[in-house]
Amino acid sequence: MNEKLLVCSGLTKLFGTKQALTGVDLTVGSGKIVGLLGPNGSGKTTFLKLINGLIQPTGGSVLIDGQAPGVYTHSITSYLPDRMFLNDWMKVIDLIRFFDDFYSDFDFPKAMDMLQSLGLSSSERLKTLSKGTKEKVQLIVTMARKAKLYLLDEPIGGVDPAARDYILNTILTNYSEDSTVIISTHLIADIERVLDEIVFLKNGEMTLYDTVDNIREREGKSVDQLFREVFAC
Amino acid sequence: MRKLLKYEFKSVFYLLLPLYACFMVVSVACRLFMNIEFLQDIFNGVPFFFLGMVYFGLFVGMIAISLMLVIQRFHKGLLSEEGYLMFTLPVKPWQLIVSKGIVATVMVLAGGAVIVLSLMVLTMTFRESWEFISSFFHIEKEAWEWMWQNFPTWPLLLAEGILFLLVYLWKHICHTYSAMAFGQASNKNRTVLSVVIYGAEWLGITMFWLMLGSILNRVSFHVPYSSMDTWFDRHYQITIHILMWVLLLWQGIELAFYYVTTHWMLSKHLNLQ
Amino acid sequence: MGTEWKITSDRPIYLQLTEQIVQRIVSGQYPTASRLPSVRELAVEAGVNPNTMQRAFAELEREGLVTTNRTAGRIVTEDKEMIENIRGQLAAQKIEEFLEGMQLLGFTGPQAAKLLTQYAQLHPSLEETKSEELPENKTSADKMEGAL
Repeated sequence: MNEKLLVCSGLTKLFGTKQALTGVDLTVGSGKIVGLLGPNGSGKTTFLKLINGLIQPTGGSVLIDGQAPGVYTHSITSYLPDRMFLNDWMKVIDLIRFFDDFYSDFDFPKAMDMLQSLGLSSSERLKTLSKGTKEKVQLIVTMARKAKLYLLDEPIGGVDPAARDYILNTILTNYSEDSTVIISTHLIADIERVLDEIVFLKNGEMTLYDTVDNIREREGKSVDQLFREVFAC
Repeated sequence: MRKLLKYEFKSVFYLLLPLYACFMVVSVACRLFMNIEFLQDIFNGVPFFFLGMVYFGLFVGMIAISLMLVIQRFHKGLLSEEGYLMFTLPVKPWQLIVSKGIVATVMVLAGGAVIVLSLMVLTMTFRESWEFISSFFHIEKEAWEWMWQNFPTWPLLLAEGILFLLVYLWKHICHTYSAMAFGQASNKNRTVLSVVIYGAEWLGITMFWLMLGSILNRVSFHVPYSSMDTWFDRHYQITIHILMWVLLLWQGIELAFYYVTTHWMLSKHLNLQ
Repeated sequence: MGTEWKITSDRPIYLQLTEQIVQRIVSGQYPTASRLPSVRELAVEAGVNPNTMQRAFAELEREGLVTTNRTAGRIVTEDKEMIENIRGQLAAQKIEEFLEGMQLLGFTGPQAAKLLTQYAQLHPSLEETKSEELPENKTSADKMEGAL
């Protein structure tokens, strides 16, 4: 158990003059499933990219297991980006081997199992897959690792309901006390009950960080309802 | 590192190998047409003409694709979507850059080799090409002896020459990398910025050498030419080697500059969109 | 599995889980002194966060309805008396709700009871399953009276 798996202090990111993220202070321990909630453009993706070191903070810092983003943090972080990182020439099996090669915590049999249970063929070329199928493949290689920190950027956005249930189920069966999952989404109703903590992001600012049950207890309504009120247009 | 190279080679040569093969086949076909006259006359020589065009197209295409791939593997493979994959791997940025660089080098060299081979196929008979190759390794006896007598350190010079070419090649590869690495830091107009940076870097480094040259000019070279001449006569081997090393150093410094800036940008100022 | 897990949106999830586990215990789906499925299994089954399920169990342990045994895992209490007590309380609650509803419709207590008996006779299947699932009708009826 690590009470400080992820520590962000004063995390700020500017794009030009636009504030993408403003002074986020957040400490997340291990063994949690955290929802990163906010409408489009609220800084969710920026936040996750900062944790991965794909962009650099304008101010503040982010530490994963006590270290700044780098080789070590990459080895314990499994990141599902909000876009396709797939190389066209590869087959599904090539991609799985690629992950198996680079990540010592990659569980090859598990990945193959997941492929099968989602009804995907490993010999298919990535180029020929539909968008939804590509997303599933990316999800499989992300979840087949035994990482300490999973960062899932909109994993349930584009997939069909059956796949969505499968994803949530995978997250739950994958759960361990040593690992934390951070899921960014704007579709809360679907995943509310698998979360224990939630973070609200609004225009790049963290407006709320609490457990789902605390919020329900205090507000007498679901996080989803609260979200709709807070972010009502 | 080995794994990275494996991945890089696969991602380039799945495209290039068929292209090389295609090019060689067309070369051989061209050669056949050239040698056998009645083939040239079929359909008023249209197929022959056509084949020639294809050869020419492939020739140009191969060079273009090789150069494009150098840029594209870096830009697409690190600075676009695929960067999300590569930069979250537990590897250091230098490993990513070096693996790209090695593959780019091999790609350029292999492309060059294929072109030479194809030209040989086109222009020479088997015996001629054999002689051509052997002349490479068995230089005329006299020349051979002359070299050993007057320039016994020539193998070293050869090594220096090859090294120089490699460093020169790496410099140019790294220069494009560096320009792209700076370009990606911008939030928009990345391509334009890359091109501008490419020119600016070249300009900057040229200015640097010019200034260094003018300073050196003022400081030193009080040595009279006549004494230099006699010195050169006596120590021409060393002088040429020193000259080679100066050239190497010159290109090496440029390479180092481009490499260091690339690495610095990718490790400290990565900005994936 | 017998009943489905139902999570509504208005109240804390752990409370709802606690209630439904209690329901399963008093109805005999998790028999007295039996070993409970692991938190993880139940969490996956209910599609909820394992920590939330854990909290629900902590609540039950606090109430003494569930005990943790180092070797055997989580066990439903052997205290039949306690289970029956809770069952009686829950039944009392339901009946109160029912009677309140009937009162709004203008029925007195005895009238409502009479209607209920008639209804149960007209739907024998309901009666049967009920008496099968509730083997200790008498004791729980006693408890219920006590609670009322």
